Amino acid sequence: MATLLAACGEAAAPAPAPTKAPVAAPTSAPAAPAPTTAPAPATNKIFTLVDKTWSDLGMLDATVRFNQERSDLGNVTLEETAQGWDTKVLAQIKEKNLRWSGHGYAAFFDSYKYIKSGLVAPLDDYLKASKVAWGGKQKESYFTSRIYDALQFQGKQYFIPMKANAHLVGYREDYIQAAGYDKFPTTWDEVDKMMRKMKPALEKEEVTPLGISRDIFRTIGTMFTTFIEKPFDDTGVLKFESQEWFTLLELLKKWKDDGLARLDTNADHYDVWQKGKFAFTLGSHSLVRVGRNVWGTAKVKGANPPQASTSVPARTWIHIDSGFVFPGAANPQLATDWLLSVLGPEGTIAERWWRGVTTFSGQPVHQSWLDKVLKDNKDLAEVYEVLKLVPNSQIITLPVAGAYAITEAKIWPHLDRFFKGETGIKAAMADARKEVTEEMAKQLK
Amino acid sequence: MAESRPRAAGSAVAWWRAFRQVRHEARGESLAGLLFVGPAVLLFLTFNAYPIVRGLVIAFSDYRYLVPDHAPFNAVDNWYEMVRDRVFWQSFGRSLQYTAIYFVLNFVLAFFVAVLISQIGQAREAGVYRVMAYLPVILPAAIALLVWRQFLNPEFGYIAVLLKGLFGSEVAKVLRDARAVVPTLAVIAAWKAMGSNVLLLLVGLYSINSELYEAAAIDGAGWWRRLMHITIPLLLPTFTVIFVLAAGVLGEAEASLIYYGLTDAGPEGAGRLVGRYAYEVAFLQGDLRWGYAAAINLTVGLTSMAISGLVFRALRSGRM
Repeated sequence: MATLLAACGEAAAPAPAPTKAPVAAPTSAPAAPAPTTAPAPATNKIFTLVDKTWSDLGMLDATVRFNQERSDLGNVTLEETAQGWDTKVLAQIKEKNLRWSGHGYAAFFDSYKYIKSGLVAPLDDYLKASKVAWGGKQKESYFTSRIYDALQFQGKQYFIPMKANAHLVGYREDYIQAAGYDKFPTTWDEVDKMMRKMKPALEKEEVTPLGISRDIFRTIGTMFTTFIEKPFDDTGVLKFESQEWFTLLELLKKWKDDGLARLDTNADHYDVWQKGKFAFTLGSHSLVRVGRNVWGTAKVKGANPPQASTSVPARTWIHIDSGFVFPGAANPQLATDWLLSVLGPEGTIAERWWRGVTTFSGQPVHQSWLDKVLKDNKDLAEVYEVLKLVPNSQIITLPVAGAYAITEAKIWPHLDRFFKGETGIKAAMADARKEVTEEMAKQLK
Repeated sequence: MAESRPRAAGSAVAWWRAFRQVRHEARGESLAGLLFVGPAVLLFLTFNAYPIVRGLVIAFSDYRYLVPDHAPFNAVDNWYEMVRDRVFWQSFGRSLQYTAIYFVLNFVLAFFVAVLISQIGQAREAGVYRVMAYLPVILPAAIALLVWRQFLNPEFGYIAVLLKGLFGSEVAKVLRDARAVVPTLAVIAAWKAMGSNVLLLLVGLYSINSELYEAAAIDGAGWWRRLMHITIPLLLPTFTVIFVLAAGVLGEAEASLIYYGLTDAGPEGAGRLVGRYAYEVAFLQGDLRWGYAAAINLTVGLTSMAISGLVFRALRSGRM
């Protein structure tokens, strides 16, 4: 794996050596749940990690800029992650020989397990001590306080958001026009009517109106958020025994039985979408992007998810991916400052990141970038619109991330039986609940 | 006496010199031998012996990867849980089915192809077919499985198009059926591994003395009888190797993980073979319970060994 050199052309040294007195050491030791080592000696040169995708999308450019503009804070070399980095970092933390200080990316469903395994340090003290202006103003920094709330775990902040993912509808405009519609409907009742007109119109091309991904958090999860305000219970488990879930699943089954919806394996879902065999689905903005790669901007559009009711504010699914600092890192303050600068609400450093990531699949979390990057961007108009739903929506929190994989693994065999008509939804979900509860009971708190 | 003493002393010295030379040569030889086997032994110890021992230790503990420093010895608790774990038994059943299909296909196809190739008289032509038969083995698993996934796609794949053309679109739906998942994965795996067995069988076939066939032919034995009474009995040792190796696929996880992706076990979870289940326990779910996953894998490994032992015993007694 090639090493990315972000430090103004400096070659990557085997290990960072302390060359200077610690920069702005925190006023008190961070209270991690299971800190395994004391912080390493501070250095003004640190190494950080991120996946190649995010590096190429702007994190590397932003880091280069950081080294130029904020040389007073230190120097950061951003390296590409290789497979198994987490095992390696955990071992290095134990051996008190940690090469890297921070990581630019934790997917939402990994963030909880990173905390639990001791891979993530609480940031509160470093945020307070930071020389980056908005370090101590986290609560006011984001365009909705719900983002700040979603970063908290047991009263501490462990992550700095590197992007939000607000889900929307990706649809083929030519297909809905074939059903006599100019805009995507705003309620599920209207969607039902549209699909029934669409089916005969597109039957010849073997196009099914709705494509359902088996990744819960895409189609079904997003639809669920339009039925219920809080889709997860206090333990972070999807409320799959709620009346709203039953209503949604009965609706999906009816559509499937009527030939209005299709259920695809995760491996096939995007493939089928790109081949034009369904007219719309719900998920991240990647849908629109990959659809446009094949069919062009004129045919593929995005819209806010239709809602179950017009009497309550519209909602969608939103999760946050984040950057974080390793416990026992060399100069955790510098790692925090780097994250704050690259992922911050203003400045040329952050601009490189936010302008880059919005071209892929991810949205800013600061009002300033919403205004600068998205507001007048006609190519991403649907993204700007869907972000207006975020303040009403329950953002996926850290405990949810912990229960997500278990729910996903246990629920599908029962949903499949339900979709085949072998069992009712209540019985199927009662069976799933039993298995999820059993599995959750096996986990340590 | 005076002469014999120096002679005796001389022979003792000569004997001692000869002895030292032999020891020196032996030492040299053993040193050379150690140098030759050293790297292999080192690799074996690092990548085979140590992981096996480590896996054994983990299997008897409640090792949780996500919980720092949590790996208490828990005796046979993992097996106690396994006995009552429905998902384990379901996935284990699928893996047995997968192994059975793989077992048969892997052998029958390879034997059929090897016999056909062995009948080709032209050396160059036979070489071309040998290369063709072996090509799937060197194809990376990810590429092979993705090609098959496209091939078997229920809508866009060649098979679906063929079935639709011949029997209508209803028949093509079988490709989405949960019951088709395990056979599909087994067919792909058998196709992928077949080339190695073809080569093994060809080595066996080419080493059978042609005079045996000529003599049998003179005695009036037809193609079938020659096959049954000469070819198959003489290939029994090769069959044993093939069957013993085939038993190792019981814990297979790779095919399902590539074919359906990491987070989807296929329709009705039918792609959740026992190896995949262990993977999910170890790397996806909750605390990442490596202890339980190691116990699953140990059980599967021991079952594989038992199957291999049975096959070995059956074929050995057959030959006797």
